[in-house]
Amino acid sequence: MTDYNKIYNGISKSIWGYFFLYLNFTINIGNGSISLLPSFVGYILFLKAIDLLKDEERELSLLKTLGVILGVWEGIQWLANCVGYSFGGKWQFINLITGLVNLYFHFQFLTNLASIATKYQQENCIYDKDLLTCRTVQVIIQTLFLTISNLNLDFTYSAEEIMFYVTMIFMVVYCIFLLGIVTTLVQLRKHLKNDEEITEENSITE
Amino acid sequence: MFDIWGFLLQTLTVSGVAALLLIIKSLLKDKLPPKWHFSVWSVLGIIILFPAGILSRYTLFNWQTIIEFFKLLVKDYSFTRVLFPFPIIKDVPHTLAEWIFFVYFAGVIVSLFVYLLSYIKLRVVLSKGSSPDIETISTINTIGHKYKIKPCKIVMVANLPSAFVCGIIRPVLVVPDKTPDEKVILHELFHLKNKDTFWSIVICLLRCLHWCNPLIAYCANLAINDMESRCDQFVLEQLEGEERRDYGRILLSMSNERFAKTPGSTCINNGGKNIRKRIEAIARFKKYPVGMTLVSVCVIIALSCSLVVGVQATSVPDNAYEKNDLWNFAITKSTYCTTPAGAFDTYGKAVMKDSRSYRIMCAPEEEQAELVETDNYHWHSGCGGTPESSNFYIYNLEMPENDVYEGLLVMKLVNAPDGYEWVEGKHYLAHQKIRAFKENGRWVVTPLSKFDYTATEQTLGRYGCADLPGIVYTNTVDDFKIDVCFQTIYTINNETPVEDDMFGLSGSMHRYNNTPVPNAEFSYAYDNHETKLTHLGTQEERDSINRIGIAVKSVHKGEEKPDALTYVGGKYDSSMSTSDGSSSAVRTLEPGWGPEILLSGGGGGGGGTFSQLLNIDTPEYYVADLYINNELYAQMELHLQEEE
Repeated sequence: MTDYNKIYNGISKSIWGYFFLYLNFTINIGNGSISLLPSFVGYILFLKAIDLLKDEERELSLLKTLGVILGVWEGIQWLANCVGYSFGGKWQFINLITGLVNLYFHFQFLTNLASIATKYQQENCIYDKDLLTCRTVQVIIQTLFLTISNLNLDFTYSAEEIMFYVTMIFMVVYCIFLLGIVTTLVQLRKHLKNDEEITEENSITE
Repeated sequence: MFDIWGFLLQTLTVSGVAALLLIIKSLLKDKLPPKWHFSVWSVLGIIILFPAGILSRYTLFNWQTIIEFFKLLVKDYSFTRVLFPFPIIKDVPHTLAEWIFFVYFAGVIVSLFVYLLSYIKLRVVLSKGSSPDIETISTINTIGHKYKIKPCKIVMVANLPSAFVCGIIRPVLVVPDKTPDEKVILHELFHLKNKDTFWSIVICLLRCLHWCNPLIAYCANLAINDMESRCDQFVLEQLEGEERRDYGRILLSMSNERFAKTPGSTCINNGGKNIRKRIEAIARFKKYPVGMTLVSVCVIIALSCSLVVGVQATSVPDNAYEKNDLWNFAITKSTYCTTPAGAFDTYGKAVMKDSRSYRIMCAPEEEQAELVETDNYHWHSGCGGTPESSNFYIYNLEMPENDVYEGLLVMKLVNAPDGYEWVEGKHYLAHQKIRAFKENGRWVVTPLSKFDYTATEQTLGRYGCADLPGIVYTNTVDDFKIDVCFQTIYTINNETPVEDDMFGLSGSMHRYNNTPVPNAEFSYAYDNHETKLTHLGTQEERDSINRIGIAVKSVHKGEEKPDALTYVGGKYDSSMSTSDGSSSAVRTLEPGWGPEILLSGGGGGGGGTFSQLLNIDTPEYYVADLYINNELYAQMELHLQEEE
């Protein structure tokens, strides 16, 4: 029998994971800065979500190691920022590895969430397609960001200005689609709750 | 690669990328399809063929620092540069380093020869082959037709362990005398479809270039294995249930690797260990969803762009100027100047700090030995005063030939230089003619003169200083000698923002960046001209003049001489630029003036790219209208002063 509660919790954790990963409030103390919504908490939530959802999607368990790596790296960065050290572009080797792992992690994670949505959404709903669209746009923009941030090119003043505006446009598009992911997941969660209530009512009737 | 250091730089760069790929591949094992695992080796292939350290860019780590460090240890002060990814012997070896490079070069030739020999041996075996029976041909054609792969020429060779494809232009499918299993044929046909014989040759050639690097040999083996796994995946995707297990059993039965590593051929059995890995992969077999192609391509794009373009070595540690150990010298030497402005900036800061490390960054090769080996803690620029930690200027920058720039380095001193006495209200300037030129791919600076000094009442700024040397245009009419001194002034903005307060609320402040910026560009360029009148007559004659005015305009090459100049006279003293580009000035004189008087000045300029800034060209001549006691006295042309 489907454990709706488990899937519901898994999706809730995913939503909170995205919340911690992409929202950032920072306070400066001395030389350091402390993020109040640290990204590593986001990865802890993703890992919990994977545990809850792995029975639905076996592929999700493949993401566990990658999630741990990303979480640890984010944790190290968070600690370093607290004491006023910034990794910036100094560690290209690790930045590149984590950047690529991050790219794959979110792509696969959203693919699996879309697959779960396919199983549980109503016939007239297209949560799975919405998630896949957002995933595709997200991976393309992430690739662009990753490539540009690792290129370390010296732009002339005018080119730098153009780059700034292009990056801003991509950021806006990225945020819109990110919002799309969270909204779709919230709708899917709501839908699952309704299903759970219907199943409970049926079992009581029986 | 012309020497062993070049090869070491190249092979270290390649090894770094190989290590990165191995980590990424192991992290994404079973997550991305075998096709990706094979394709990602193309990144390593590009890095092998891309000269390391080109344009001062490094991949992952600044390997050049390590190379320069070892070179300094063995007292080799040349600069390592890789122009080609393959070795070239220019001369008969003399030194140990040259002999080692020769051994490496010989190794490349020998390994190429060994592979060529194994290919020839294979072709000899194939020449003894015969045409297979109709049944075998029919089976192969049916498989090809079924999977839409056009089969090639088929040759049957007795006592072969299994089938394989050989050749690039006219490939041949070689089958043993016993008709092989359909799945093996399918595997080989996929090799044919993917032109894997070509890739096996590419892998062999690249492996030969780094024959003494075990990591590259390991990666080459892995790449061949990934090529086989890719075909295994294709085959397994076509099969179902028991057939898949059969395919594994077939692989398991193969342990003979007779032609496994022959270039230009593909062989399903590529060694016991590799087959074990492939069987494990078969056990984990899964069909990858269509969307995987997108993320696979994205990962390869991000990886290859970042690694091929690399990172520019643009900064040295803040305290590098005061460290005199070999490692520090290696760091500064490997952070070399990539622009003429960067070389001027580095030289200026070396003078400012009397720093050996900074001087090593921008010194020509012939000066390197002396700079490293000297017992002096500091490098002595020869400047007789202490330069101020503030912007310095390059006056009268010119390009006498391609990739050569000459100019006057001007710095403000905080004290009076040797031989001068401090006078309140005066500024002391040190200046030296220097030349920046390109040597072995890096911009270096050499001084052309000793430091000279000027005491001036003018503030040193980007708009010029009449007391400093410039290009002089002159003419004399009767007792009136007019000189126009033309200057160009280039400067690099070295103001760096710093956050000063705890919460960053008060906005950013700026400090002067004392660290060289080897890739700097000039931020501003200005031109300036000052007009000076010298009266050659007696004081009595001078006292009869109570008002002098002048209008001056530059005429550049190709421009027409202006008909008239705008002169702004009037009752009051003034000095201004007019809309037609001329400058006009008028001065009221008291008895006893002269014999020299500064009349007018002007100029313009601003920021822009270096090529735009260099467009400030020197005027061909000046035209001037001289007014004495409010009457036009003479119209003249001022020409370049002949050098004494």
